[in-house]
Amino acid sequence: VDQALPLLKGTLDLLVLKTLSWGAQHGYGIATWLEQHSDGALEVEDSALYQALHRLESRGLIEAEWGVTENNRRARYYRMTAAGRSRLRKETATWLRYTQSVSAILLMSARTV
Amino acid sequence: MMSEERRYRRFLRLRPQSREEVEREVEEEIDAHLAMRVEEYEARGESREQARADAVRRFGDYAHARRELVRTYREQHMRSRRAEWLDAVRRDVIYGWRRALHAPGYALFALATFALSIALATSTFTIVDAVLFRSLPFADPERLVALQSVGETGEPFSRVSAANWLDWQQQNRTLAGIAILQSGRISVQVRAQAMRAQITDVGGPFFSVLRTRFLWGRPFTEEELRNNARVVVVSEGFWRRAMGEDRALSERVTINGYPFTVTGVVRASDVYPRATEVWLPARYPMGNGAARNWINYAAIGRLADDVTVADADRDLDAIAARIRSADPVGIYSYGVGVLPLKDDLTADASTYLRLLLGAVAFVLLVACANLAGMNLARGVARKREMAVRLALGAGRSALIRQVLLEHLLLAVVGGLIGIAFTVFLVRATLQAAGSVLPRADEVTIDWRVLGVAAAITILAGLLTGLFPALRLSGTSLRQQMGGARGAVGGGRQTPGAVLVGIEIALALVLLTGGGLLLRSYRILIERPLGFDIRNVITAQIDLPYAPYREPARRILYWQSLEARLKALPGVSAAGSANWVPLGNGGISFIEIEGRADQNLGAGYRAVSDGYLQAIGVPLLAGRTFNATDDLGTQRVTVINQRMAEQFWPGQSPIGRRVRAVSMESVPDGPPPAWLTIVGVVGNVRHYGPDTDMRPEMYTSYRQIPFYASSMTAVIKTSGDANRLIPAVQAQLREVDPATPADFSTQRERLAALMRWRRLLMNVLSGFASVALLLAALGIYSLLSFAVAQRTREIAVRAALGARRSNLLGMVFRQALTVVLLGAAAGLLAAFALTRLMTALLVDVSPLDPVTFAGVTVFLLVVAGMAAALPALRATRLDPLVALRAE
Repeated sequence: VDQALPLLKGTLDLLVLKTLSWGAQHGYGIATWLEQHSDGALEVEDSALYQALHRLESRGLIEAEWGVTENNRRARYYRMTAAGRSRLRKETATWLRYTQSVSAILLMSARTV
Repeated sequence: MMSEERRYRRFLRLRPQSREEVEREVEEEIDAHLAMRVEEYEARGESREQARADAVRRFGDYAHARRELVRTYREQHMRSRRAEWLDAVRRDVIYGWRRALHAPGYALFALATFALSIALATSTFTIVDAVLFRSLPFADPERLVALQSVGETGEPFSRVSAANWLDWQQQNRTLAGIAILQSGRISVQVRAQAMRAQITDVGGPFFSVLRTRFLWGRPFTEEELRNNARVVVVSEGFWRRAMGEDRALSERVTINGYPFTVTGVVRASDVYPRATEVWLPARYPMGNGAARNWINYAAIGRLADDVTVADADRDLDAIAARIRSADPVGIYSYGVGVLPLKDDLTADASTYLRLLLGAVAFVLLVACANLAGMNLARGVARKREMAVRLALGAGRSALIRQVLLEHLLLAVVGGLIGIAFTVFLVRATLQAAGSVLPRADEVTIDWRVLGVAAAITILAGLLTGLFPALRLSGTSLRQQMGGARGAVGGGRQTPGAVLVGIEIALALVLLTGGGLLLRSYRILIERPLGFDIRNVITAQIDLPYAPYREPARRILYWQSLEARLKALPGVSAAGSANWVPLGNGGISFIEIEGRADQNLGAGYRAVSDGYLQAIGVPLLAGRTFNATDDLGTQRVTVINQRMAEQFWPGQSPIGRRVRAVSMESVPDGPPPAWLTIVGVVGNVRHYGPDTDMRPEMYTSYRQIPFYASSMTAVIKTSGDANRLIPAVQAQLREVDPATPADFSTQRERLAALMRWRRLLMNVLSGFASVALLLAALGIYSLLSFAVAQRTREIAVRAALGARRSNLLGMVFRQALTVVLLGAAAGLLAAFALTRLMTALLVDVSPLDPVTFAGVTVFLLVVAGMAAALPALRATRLDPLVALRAE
């Protein structure tokens, strides 16, 4: 946790969409899920997460509804829309291509140059 | 569970509306988050305070996040609301369309009503706008003014004398230029082809005052104007039509037998006065004394920079005062009226055009009231629909929007049809009225007209829809479900009745206006004119000056023409005069022998021996002219009865002597010779039915041959006058092929004079008819609705033995209240409004009781017929069938 990496710009939206691809979730749940599945390597500030959620909502990629948690607490649940799903698919492909290219360059050894 | 709640929410449209609600939601979401965080940290064993602090730290910038969240939330909210609204509008339009298809009868009626009323309103506006509201089509048109003479009592005359004009021209310091002009018709010859042309004689810087643009060439120079040079300027139309755009012909124009040179061609758009084909330098009389009173010219000027109309008026009034003190003879020199040229050109049309604009607004209101009323009546079934929607949670505003949109939809479609119809209506109006409407050639349908049409359309749609919308959306379910059945005599319909009352009132005002015009028109056409209208041909002819310089040649021309015409089969009389009734006419100052009276006046005509008989003016005493009245013999005159009564009341004027001091005098020359009165003839209304019979005197053209160069031949035929015109034309050509004529008949000339009145009467009566028809339909639908609603009551009554006449009376009573109240309101409004049309009435008071009574009775009869149908239906109700239907 000490060496948590700051998030690259734009990746948070992608991660949130990915998280919601498993099903509806509230903000806290998303934050916890992200933390767990990155083994604490990614640090997401809660306020940034909520801004991302509202941003995505206003773009129609996700939608929100008030619901009740297992502990009987009222919370705002977010779910992915059809538009969000197709966006996730596209953005994932782009991201993978991008990181592969960057990785390929970073992993080059001096000899091959 | 959640999805169910969502559906419920969506149904009820429960979304946060206000800013506070949004903020509350955002805070609630963040609080929930923090609470879960705190639980998590507490579960890890932190103290409550520690857990809270960590949770907040972990959250980050709370205030910033909150602000951002609220903002995006609201933006999203507004977007979705807009989308929802558009969606609803779309649905409403589709719904309205479906409803229209469901009730095609009503939809077609509404479309027709909208189309007709919008077309009437738009065409009226198109014409009024072009004539009254737009600037004149000249450069810097606001600076153009017309100048008038002012008489002793301050009354303005639209004509000025050249003598006064010259002084204004030299002494004024407020005008960039003043020009005089006088229009008429003359014969012009291009190469060997003689034709009649509309001409304008101009004096002063005419073209530079107007800033006329030339197709080619130039205006007259100062020198040409001063020397009466033989130059002309022609219009683009004349240039194309008569000269074939041939520059070589510009030296081949002949007027009065003299060759003229064309110096320039005026663009079609810049022609002034309208229809002028040829402009000539004017030959105007100058000098002091009597010449100051020969007001034959119109005067126009252009204000200098930074000068107002009032400044120019003061400046010229001061000059007039100087003229008066130096030359006290001038009876038109008491001042100078300066007014914008546009006002001068449109002064006559302005009264009736404004009247029509007001009338068409009434028609539009009646149409809107009618459709609104029909909607109320139609809306019984609708009320339940509305009530159910309200009960299911639809907002009142949504219902209002829906009803408004339905009407707007109909209005817009109707308006589009109406605008297409406008093109046709405007064209037809111009065809009928083009010759009597000032600036008719400037009438166009452009973006400005379309904008007004769009505004009228939307206004009509809203006016029609608003009333039913408010009314329908204001119903409650309980009232509808509970009250629809059972109660006897239910269904108050005050709003519908009010609308019908308004329609009746407006229709009655229009009817009264139309009635007053109709009465004036009838009075006019029944007025005795003093001369024949039936089967009289007129042919205006100018003898070219050069070949007819000798007076004897002129007389010979008319005598041989008259002889030939009289010999034509079908001609019963022929003669000629310099001015014949229903056209122009000169008035001369006269002097009566032995009397000192100044400024007496009488119409003065030069006539041939056969003229009085041909035109149909009877001899009352003494004799008319014969061959012995010639240049060498005693100068004689024949006067009309009006002149005899006015100057010699109770005595015989025969043997008295008068002289035409202005029309027979030469500037600065000796006074003209005396004329001895030898006969008295009947009066004529020289200038048409709406003018008085004025004093007039006639003299043989042989004794005043100066006036025999431009005369009008009058031919009385025994059969259809028009069929003889070709034969007359042939005779004219045989006497002299270089003397073309303007042919007409007295009937046509009378029709032309009456044209604008006729048109105004027809248009206003048309408006009134449309309004009355709509009002009748309004009564019909109101009563039909009432009968339908009271079916049960009527059936019960009928079953209990009520008589038909009682039932009939019951329905009629309801109609009577509405009609009588509406008519009373209409009469009051008419009392107040007809005063505005006083100037258009002839021998009829604007409060003419006959007209008021007549149109009221007419309206009541029409209203009664409209009420009779539903009333009869009520009496034919079969009680059993009616009750079973419930």
